[in-house]
Amino acid sequence: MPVIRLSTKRLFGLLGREIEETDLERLLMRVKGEVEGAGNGYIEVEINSDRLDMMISEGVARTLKGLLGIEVGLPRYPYKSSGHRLEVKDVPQRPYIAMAIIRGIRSSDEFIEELIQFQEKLHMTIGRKRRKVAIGLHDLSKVPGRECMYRELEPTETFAPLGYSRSLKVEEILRVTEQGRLYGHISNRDGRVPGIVCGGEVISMPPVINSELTRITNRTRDLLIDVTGTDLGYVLKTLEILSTTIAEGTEDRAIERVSIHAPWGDLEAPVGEVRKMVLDVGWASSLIGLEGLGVESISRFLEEMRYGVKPLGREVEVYIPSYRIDVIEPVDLVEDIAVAIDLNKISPEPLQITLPGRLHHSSILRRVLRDIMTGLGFTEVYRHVLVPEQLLRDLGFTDFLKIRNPVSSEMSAARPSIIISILITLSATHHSPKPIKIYEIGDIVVRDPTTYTGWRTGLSMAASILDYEVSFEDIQAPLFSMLRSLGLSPRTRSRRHPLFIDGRSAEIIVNGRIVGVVGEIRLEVLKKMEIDFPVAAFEVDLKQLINTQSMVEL
Amino acid sequence: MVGRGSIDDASRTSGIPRSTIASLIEALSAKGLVRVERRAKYIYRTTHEGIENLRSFPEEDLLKLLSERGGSISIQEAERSMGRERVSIAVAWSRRRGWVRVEGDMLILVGGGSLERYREVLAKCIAGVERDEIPLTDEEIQELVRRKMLSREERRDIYFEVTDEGYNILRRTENLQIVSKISKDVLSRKPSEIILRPYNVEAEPREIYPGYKHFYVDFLEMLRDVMVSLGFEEITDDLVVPELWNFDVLFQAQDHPAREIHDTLVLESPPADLKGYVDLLELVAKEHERGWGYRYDRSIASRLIMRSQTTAATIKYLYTHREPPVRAFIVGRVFRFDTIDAKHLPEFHQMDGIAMERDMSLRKLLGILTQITRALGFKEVVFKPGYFPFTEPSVEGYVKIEGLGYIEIFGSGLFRPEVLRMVGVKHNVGAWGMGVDRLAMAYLSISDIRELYTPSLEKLRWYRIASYKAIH
Repeated sequence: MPVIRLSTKRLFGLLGREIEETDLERLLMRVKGEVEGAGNGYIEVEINSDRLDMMISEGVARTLKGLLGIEVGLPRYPYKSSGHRLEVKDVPQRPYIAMAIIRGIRSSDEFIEELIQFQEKLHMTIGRKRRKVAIGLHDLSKVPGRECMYRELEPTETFAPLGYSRSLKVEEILRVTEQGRLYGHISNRDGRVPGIVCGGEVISMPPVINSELTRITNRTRDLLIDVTGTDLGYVLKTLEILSTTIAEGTEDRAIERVSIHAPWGDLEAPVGEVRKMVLDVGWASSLIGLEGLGVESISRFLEEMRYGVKPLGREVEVYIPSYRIDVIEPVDLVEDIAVAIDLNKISPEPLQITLPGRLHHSSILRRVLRDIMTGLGFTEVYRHVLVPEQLLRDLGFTDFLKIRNPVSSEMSAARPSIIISILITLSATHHSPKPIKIYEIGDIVVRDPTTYTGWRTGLSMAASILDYEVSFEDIQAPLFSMLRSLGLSPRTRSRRHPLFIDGRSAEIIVNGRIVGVVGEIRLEVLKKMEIDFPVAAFEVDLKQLINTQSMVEL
Repeated sequence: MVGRGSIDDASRTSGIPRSTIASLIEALSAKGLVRVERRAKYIYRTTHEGIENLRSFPEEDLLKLLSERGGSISIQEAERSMGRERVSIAVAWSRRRGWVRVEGDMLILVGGGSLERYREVLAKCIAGVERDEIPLTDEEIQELVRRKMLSREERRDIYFEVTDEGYNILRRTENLQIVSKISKDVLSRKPSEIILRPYNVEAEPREIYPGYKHFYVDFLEMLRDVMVSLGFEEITDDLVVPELWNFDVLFQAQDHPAREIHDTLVLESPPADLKGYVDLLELVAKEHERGWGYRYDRSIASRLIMRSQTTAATIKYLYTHREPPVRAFIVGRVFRFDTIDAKHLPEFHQMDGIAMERDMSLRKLLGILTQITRALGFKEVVFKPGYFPFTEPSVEGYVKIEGLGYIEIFGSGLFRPEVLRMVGVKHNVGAWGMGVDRLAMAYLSISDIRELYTPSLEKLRWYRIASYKAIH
């Protein structure tokens, strides 16, 4: 979740009043913000990624004004034409662009800091790391002319990128600058990249870098915003969030539109559309669980959350500001009503226990087995399903599930057998006092062409004995004792196994069905695992066991 | 028969417990049949701390870490990887050995070596070993003792020698049987022909260990009991799932950052066969295209991953259980692309639950969440609105834990209408999920998540005992 750093001086200035730290913390918590740190005139707040409009003080203040009653209802932004014009050529790798102009911003070092942060947070979230949407911010007074063009730049065209005093070629910028190396590949078509050219000068090369020419400073008064991307809907939504939120901090809150002429259509942006949604008051209050909520109180709560309202009998017509792109369904309004009420003031309604709870049958079996194994003197271990792929190969496993992007080579495959985990455990703890008797009950993953994924998650149990001397019978005896305790009649049949010594290896049979394996671990395996003592072990597939008819009804 | 030796030797060669021999020698000595002399010797024994370091000493870990990171690393980074306490020990000893230099808060590799000799000694001393069997200098042994990896115990041994009078008696006692362990055979003889040797009942017995249940599995079982007591039915599901269940049905857009390779573990496997879910995919595509405004790609839905949230299981269950009332929960493993450190593992546990009623509401959901937290032993839960792609309204719950402050215990909400439409459910459904490992750590006062999955038997025994109070 994004964490933003806000200047409290700016925030209080925008609110028109100061708020105690604890009150501010409580208020922010009500609108999904969690204060992570404060001091030196700043607070750090974690904002939920659905409220992109709150990634800067202007947006936070707009929301808090509603909760505090300073300013409620739909925020209004006067729109007018800027006289600026943008011609869009065919840029197949990044076709969409829109622009807006905001005049009379109150710039300062703190404002610039927050503005850049706002831009970055939007890049990381809705922008999908600039792939889907990217933003450029310009000092309008430095933009040459009122006619701009969006087109592909040739590798040999030149301009001075942000931070450079001399001009570089486009291909150099992609190679030399940090931004070029990070984002140069995103909209690159054989070396040709998108560019915004105004009055013959390149002012931006989205989504990579802006030109030094139009750099914003703490003296910038008027702002030109550009948004480019691969999805027109998201480009326009991003522009709505930016324009309304930045305009919130100006005197007249005016937003100036730029006319766009593009192969995909002509457009005056930002649109600033206020959407309408009809909310059924009865439905909303039953969803919250507070039957008594009437049209009046619901309207008031919605206004506190900065919506416009028009009561219509048992319904409310709700006007949604253009920056609230997270509001998709009426249920999103219901959440905001609950927020305005304050979740902690809604008294929880306890559950009526009318249904019998029940454990899954595998849980019941697991509990029985844990009791039996404890009785037999075995200690339970609990390890990861993920094990080293190389180890599985070394031990002769060939068909198992591999992770394509493992975090560590130690956790790069799903275990097809619990004996693997038992051996890994013994390798780590074989110097503990003997005898070491351990077992694990847990998940395994094995190939199974009959399932829709091609894999089956099994529930398996393995146990082992390690001692100065260990024999087949030492492990066979507890195995039989365990199975007989379940009401089963086991037998063993000699069978070769990659982990067990030939002639000391058997499969376990219950009711004619093979349910597992038992044997003494091969000396080569012990050496490989660096286990200095002999080990005998068994493994039983518990799903097979559950399937055997004669097991005591659990 | 040797006629002389120490009690330790006699016990080793005869297999008769030391205590038996000791009491016998004492009795014989009182009668003047043996001469006795007491001498002290020192036994070195590996401690719990020593066993923990059998694989590698802290300074060796640091050495390894430094060489992996190209020879320098910040103290904070080392602490993230090894834990604060272990780093402070490692730094102290590796400086002393001339392996590492400290510059500001950076650790610089300047030398190296192996402590295998020390570790071999520790392995050997687990059973207790005398000084002359340890191939280390006095200073080296002293270091291990100072680091509390080795303990030194004084053992008084008794040396004995049969006297002339003793030998005379030996020759005359052929009819009388001197018995140590009572066997069935002994019981068939006349008591007058038997002399039962006294034992030294004050001596320490050999150590044996019971079988222990795993403390963390017990914690998971306790969670299940809580849910069952509230009328919920336990479900289970596969660890390997198509993205359909893990993301798409949960209304997570196909280009959502959580679906990237940096967050989810993807598999080397052909995709799932979704022929059985054609109708579902149709609905899913419709909701995604309408709600998120992009072209839905069915092949992404069939890609296999290790499930990253147990909600993948509850939503699949809901798809086949569409009529109220439904109350189901799962406790299971989930997988994320998380770098391994004291707080993160790529594999951990979640508990997820769903409740469908004819009149399910936010207030009822808050009721369930309050009941669960009460049953877990927390007096108070604080709610905060949250954001999840598949719930609306969304709620996060926080509880207060001594020493840790408020920690998030669950994320929750009513399933979004889009989600309900996809799985064909007409009633509201409350859903919640909680990270189980963090909660268990808070419960059991464990600061490193890796301890929950420890391979060390010593630690398992210790945590088992420590957990009785917390869980039961």
